[in-house]
Amino acid sequence: MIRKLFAAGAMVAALVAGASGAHAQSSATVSLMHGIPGATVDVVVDGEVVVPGFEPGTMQVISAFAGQTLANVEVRAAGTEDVVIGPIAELAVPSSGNWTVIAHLDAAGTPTLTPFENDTSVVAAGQGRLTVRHTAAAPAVDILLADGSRPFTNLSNPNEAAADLPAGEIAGAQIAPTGGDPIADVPAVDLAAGSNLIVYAVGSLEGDTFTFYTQEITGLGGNPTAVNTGDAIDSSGTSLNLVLLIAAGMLALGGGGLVLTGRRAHH
Amino acid sequence: MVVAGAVACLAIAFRVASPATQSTVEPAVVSILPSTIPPVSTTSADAATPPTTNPSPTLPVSPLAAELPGPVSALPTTEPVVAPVGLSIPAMDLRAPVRDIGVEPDGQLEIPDETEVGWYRLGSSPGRPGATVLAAHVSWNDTTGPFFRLGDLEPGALVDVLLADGTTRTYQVVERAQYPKLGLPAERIWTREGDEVIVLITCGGDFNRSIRRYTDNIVVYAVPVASTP
Repeated sequence: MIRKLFAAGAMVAALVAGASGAHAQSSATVSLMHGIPGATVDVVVDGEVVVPGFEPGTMQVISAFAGQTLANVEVRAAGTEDVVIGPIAELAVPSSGNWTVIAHLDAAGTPTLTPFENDTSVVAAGQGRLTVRHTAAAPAVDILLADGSRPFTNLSNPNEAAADLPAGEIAGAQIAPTGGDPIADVPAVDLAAGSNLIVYAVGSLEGDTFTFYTQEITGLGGNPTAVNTGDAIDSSGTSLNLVLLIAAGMLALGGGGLVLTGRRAHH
Repeated sequence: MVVAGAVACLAIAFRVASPATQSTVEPAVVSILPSTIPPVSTTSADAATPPTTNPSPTLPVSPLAAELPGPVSALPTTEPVVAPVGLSIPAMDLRAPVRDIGVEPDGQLEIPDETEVGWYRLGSSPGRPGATVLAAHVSWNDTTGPFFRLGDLEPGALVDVLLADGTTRTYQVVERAQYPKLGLPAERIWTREGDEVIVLITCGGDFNRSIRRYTDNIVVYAVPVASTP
């Protein structure tokens, strides 16, 4: 198998150069995503397996390593000595922020690692953030929504695009080569208010393993700002309506209406 | 999330402890887990990777592996939502239709008209984790709203929610609280995670004439007691 120090690894290391204090106190959230369909792997750090039997389409939170510099990182085909990615001499895990490091194919189909920083800034009430990441062996693409619009265009590996949108189900989206006709359906996703829903295009278009994985980061606000469920039962003049209503209610319900009288008085 | 993580941990533990392919180091942390639990197949929506028994790693497993919470699925899912369509609270003599609501352009919760109860469709729904939020007027245009008597609803009262599939879920009131308008406990009300709870919400407290609004919200929490076909 390929045995190579990938530039991406160096990129990860460079991202947090200076954060090499081995046990720096850290508040980072770091996830490792396996974005290479069909290949179960072992993740190896300095000769020991840290994530054994890591399945495609799963994520492993590795925040325990935040702020640390991992030595001789390899991704091996599970249970074998076939090194798929690496060895990466030094892999510095970010020490702050929210990150996803994804093992995926580059545009040409070579396995690699790419770190993405996840936007956890607050979204407006009723909105969610949709992030799309191109991590597949495929040409640059546009995202088509069901209404035919193309909110994200010319997205290439390994890049991302994002927008804050009204929360709710997003169904009927497709991808197309930039400017071209659709080539694949995007599965329906539920964009929750206050979440960053990250959709990863993964796999290989030519290898027929092209598919989508998702990651949801919640807690970004998006809640209604207020609940205003009462306007006036104003006391002057119109309160006669209320009195009549209560009287009618008491007649209809017997004693049941009595509980009304002690409440809502705002004189 | 927690459950998924725990299951995944067990799956890994099983694989590592499996005697057939045991090779090198057996970390103590692995051996305390029961070896009789079968590996849990992942949600195999990923047709490209049928579940297989993975061979053990050829290298020793790091003790650090046990510090990790275990993998979680990244496969896209949308779970079917069954919307509530009716609300019945006998203790309030209430039977009202329910319709879905979102948020207004200014960020406030959308509120239905005086006869309806609103279900916040961006929250949870009955039968699923988290809070199903049902909001209605206490008063509207000088008449009483559906939740006029919410402030009198006591723990123990039953709440029936009729769903779009024709089923009814029954809940029991466990708490009533009054919060200043800006003091709603967001983590209890606007959440799709945690235990299933029905949150009934309306206005209460003093009426502020200058802004023609109440100063507080009255919130009633109810938990499931049964579901009937």
